[in-house]
This record gives sequence, structure tokens and C-alpha cells, in this order.
Amino acid sequence: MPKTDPNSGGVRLECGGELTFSTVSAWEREAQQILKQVKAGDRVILDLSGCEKMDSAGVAFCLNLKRRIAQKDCLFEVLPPKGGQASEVLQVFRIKKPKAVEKEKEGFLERAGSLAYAFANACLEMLTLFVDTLYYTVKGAFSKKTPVRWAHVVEQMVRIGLESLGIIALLSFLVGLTVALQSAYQLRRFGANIYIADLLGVAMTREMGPLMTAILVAGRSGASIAAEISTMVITEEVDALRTMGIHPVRFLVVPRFLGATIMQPLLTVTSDLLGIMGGFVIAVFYLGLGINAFTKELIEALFIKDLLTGLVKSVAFAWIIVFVAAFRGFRVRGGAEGVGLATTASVVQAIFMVIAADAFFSLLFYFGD
Amino acid sequence: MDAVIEVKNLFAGYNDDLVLKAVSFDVKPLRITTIVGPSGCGKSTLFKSIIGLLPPKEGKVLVFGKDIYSMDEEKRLEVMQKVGFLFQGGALLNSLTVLENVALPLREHTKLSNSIIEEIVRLKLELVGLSDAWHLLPGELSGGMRKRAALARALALDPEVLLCDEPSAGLDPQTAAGLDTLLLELRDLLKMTIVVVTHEIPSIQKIADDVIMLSVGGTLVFSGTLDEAKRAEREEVKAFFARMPGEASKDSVPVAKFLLAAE
Repeated sequence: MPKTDPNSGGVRLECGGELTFSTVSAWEREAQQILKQVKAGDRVILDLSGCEKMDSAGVAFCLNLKRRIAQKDCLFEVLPPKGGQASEVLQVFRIKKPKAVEKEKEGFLERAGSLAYAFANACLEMLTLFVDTLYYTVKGAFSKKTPVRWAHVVEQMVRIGLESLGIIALLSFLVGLTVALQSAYQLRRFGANIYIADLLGVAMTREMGPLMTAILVAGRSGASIAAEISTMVITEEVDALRTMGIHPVRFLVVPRFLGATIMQPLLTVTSDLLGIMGGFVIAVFYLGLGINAFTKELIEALFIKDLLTGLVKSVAFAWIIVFVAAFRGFRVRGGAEGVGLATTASVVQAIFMVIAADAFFSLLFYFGD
Repeated sequence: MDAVIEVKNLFAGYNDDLVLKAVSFDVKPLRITTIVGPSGCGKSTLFKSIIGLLPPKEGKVLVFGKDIYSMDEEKRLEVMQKVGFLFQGGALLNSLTVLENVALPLREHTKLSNSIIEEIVRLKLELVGLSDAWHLLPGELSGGMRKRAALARALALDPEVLLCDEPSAGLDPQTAAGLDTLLLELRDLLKMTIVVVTHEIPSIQKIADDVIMLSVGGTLVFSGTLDEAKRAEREEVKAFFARMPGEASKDSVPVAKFLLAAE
């Protein structure tokens, strides 16, 4: 129990008996009370003379009390245990000597500075990754010494492209169907049924197709690239590649970069077609348009430029997805948790950058016309 | 003969932490050099600096007389092809089989046909006693097998220098002894220069020609032949070979002393 010490005017906490895992919580409450009472300059005495048994929880309690009392600018005194197990335990456990110079707390400017520095560093790393990838791709295409690993490019084309085909086709069809259904209701009111073909054709090829494909690929392949590379960094596989004289970017990023660059436009075209087909179903069965009328209107409304706009976008999106995933993968820190964070960050950042780039392209093409 | 690896006044570390301070030594050709020292003294950091993964904050690392950090990355990768490195955990590529792992450096750096490459891989796997496991994935191997597969990969291109980070850690004494014999054979028969980080005194006694010792603070304590090391007067070296427990760290105090100290 805390007691007021008549001799010194200080507060005394007599920890008699056991100071162990089972009793420390009770002593903590006592200590809390003392800490509430005392003012700066007061004296606090931790009396361990009656303490017979102590374990690591007890030692931690004493250390913690000393620190908290020091924070209140009180004087702290300890009466050590009178020999026995408690006194031995206090000798066995060791702590680091407090450092003479405490690290100064970062001020606002320092913090802003280090954040800006970290950001600039990250941008530089991303740029290096980009340049390295282009360099090894171009070099690999012409050099016999370090050729592009085409077998791996094909493997990536299958993984990024072929294996995503089903889900992208299905979703595009459903989105085309939904967009058409929503628009059909409005168009009907104005008797403008036929324009469903224009609307769908332009929307799918210029916007929906590339964007939906990119979001799906970012979630599917982007995540897998980030997880794969970050795991390889953590298990030192990337270091092993370097020691074998193999540049990790050439070995890991180039095949994925080429695979995505080739497959993303193809996936986008598939998405365009299936989306339009979804709309076609609505146009024919709900709006009662003829097959020929729909096709004729669609061909008249669509320009090659619309299709090309979508394809240019799709390549840009593929690059964003691969570079963000590889960048996040190579920057991973820590263990399994780091892999999870890298993967999540890769998907979120890639989707964000894809949408931002899409907005940029829309402005560019709109005002560029 | 000229040193194969020269470390000159090396300061290295991560971010603001300096792990190695003013370390200098030479690795002489056709000898086995063991790097010893307590845990956390910077042995792995030293290896990372030597194999080109951690640029020094100060000082130089010369491999075959060339400063590996002043050349561009491609040149460095070329030099590193002559250096085999065995990672502590093996660092095999998990998506490739043992055969593909060992074949990787051969496929990347040579123009040999597939059948010759597979022949070489078989030779190397036989050398490390792993010829039956060629078709397995690293995840299907035991710790010792993984290490031996990684050794086979490090030996794939017949490197002139082989660096091994704790090759026998976590292995049973018999397998570890087998690995020691293998290292001796590599030195004598294949004329390799070998650098090994290890804690195992029996292993050091058996294979080491030279010993380099680092201390807890990341400074060089000793550099010389095994015989010189055994006769060394320095306390840390004596204590290591006598397997005496290290002193408690000087920057920590017993809790009792800390509690009783006045603010």
C-alpha cells in the first residue's frame, strides 16, 4: 500500500511478498494512485526490502515506475530487496545504459524535408526502373549476349492475357448490357433508340473497354507481379540473381512488361467487342432494333480513331500496372506482412494511376481534336 | 601472388547505422579464408559488400584487382560471374526445380546447348551429393539439401572464387563434415579460392588456411593464418578459440544498478 513517509515527507510504495506476473497488475493500480498524487519535486520510495520473489514482470514494473516518476520530475529512490531470489533476478536482467544524447525530435520542417526527400527518392527509383526496363528490352531485342527470354514472355502472355480472358469477357458483356439497359430507358423517352449503337460503340471503345480491362488486370496480374517480386526480394532470390550476374529487371520485369504490353490491347479489344455485344442484346430484344440497323449505325458512329484511342490508352495502362507492381515489389520491407502491404499498395496505386491517366488522356484527346 | 579480394578501409552499413568500421584485409588465392566473429558483428554485411550488393560508405572493395563499385553495373555483373556465392538460406528460386536453378547461370551466361547444360548440372549435383533430387522444387527439399542445391548453383559456372555464408549452420554434424571435405576438395582439385563465414570451431580447424575475425562493433580484430590465430595474444581471439562466453555487452547494466542509481 502507498504510505506517506513521516521522515522524509515522501510517498513510499511497499512491495512486499511477490512481485510477479500474477501480482504486478495489482501493484500497477497502486502505482497509478501514487502517480496521481505526487507533484514535481516530491520524493517517491519503492521499498523492495520485503520482496521475496520477483520475475521479469516485476523487474519491468520497477523499471517502468522509475521512468514514469522521472517524467513527473519527482525524486525516485529504491530500497533493494534483502538478498534472496528477488535480488538475484535484478542482477540477471540487464538494460541498455540510457544514451547521453537523446535523438532530437523532428521539427515540422525536418519532417517535411525528409518526406520530400523520400518522395524524390521514390520517383528516382521508379524512373530508374522504367529506364532499365526499356534499356534491357531494346538491348535484348538486338543483342545476342543477353537476349529477351521469349519463352518467359510467352508464359507471361498466357498468365496476364489468356488467363484473364474469361473474366474480362464476361464482365464486359455484363457492363455493356447494363449500360445499354440504363441508356435505353432514357433514349426511349425521346424516340432515339437507334443512338444506343453510337453510345455503346464510343463508350466501350474509348473509355469502358480500356478502363475496365486495366482495373481487372491491375487487380489480377498487378497483384501477382507485386507479390511474386516482393517474396523474391524477401527470400533473397533477387540478391541471388545479382550475384549470379543476372540483372533482376532483365530477368523479372522485362518478360512481364512485354507480356502485358502485347496482351493488354488484345484484352481491350475483346472487352470492347463483348461490351458492344451486351448492348446489342438489349438493343435487339428490348428496344426492338434490327440487327442490320444496329450494325449500320455502329459502323457509321465508330471511327478508327476511337478504337486507336482505346488501344493507346491500354498500352499506357499496361505500363502503369507493370511498373507500379514491380516498383512496389522491389521496395518491400519486412516479412510476410511486407508482401501483403506491397501487394495492396500496388493494386490501389495502379488503379488510382490508371484512372488519373485516363482522365488525362480524355482531356488530351478532347482538346486535341 | 596477388590477392583475389582486397577490402580496403571499408565502412559499410544500412541507412545511418554503420555496421563495419575501417575493415581491411586481403583474401589470398587458392586458400580457404574463414571469417569469424560473434553474431551481429557484420559478417553478412561484409559479404554483401564483397558481392556488390551494398555500396561502401567509405573505402574500397577490389575483386580480381578491380573496384567493383566504380564500374557500371553490367561490367560488375560480368566480374561477379567469376564469383560463386552461397546464401545462408540458399536463396534458390522457388518457382524453378533444382535442375533449373543450377542450370540458370549456365543458360544466362553461356551459349551451350541444353543437353550439355543438363550434363553439367548433373555433374554439379553429383558433386554435392544431390543427383536424385534434380526434379524437386526448393520447397520440397530439407534444409541441408537446399543448401547443397544452392552450392551446386554457386558452382555452376566453375567460379574462381566461392563465398559461403554459414554453409553448415543448421546441418547435422555429419552433413556439415561432408560439406567441409567438399570445400577442401574444391580448393585442392578445382583450384578455387574460398571464403567461408562460420561459427563452427571444428570446421574452422579442419578447413581454414586464413582467419579473419570481426568484433561486435564491426571492427577487424585479427587477420592472419590459422596457426597465427591459435597463438594470438588478443583476448577476443583467444576467447573465441577457447569457446569462452563473451563478456556482457559494455553498454548495458544490471537492472539493480540502474534502479539504485540516482537521476
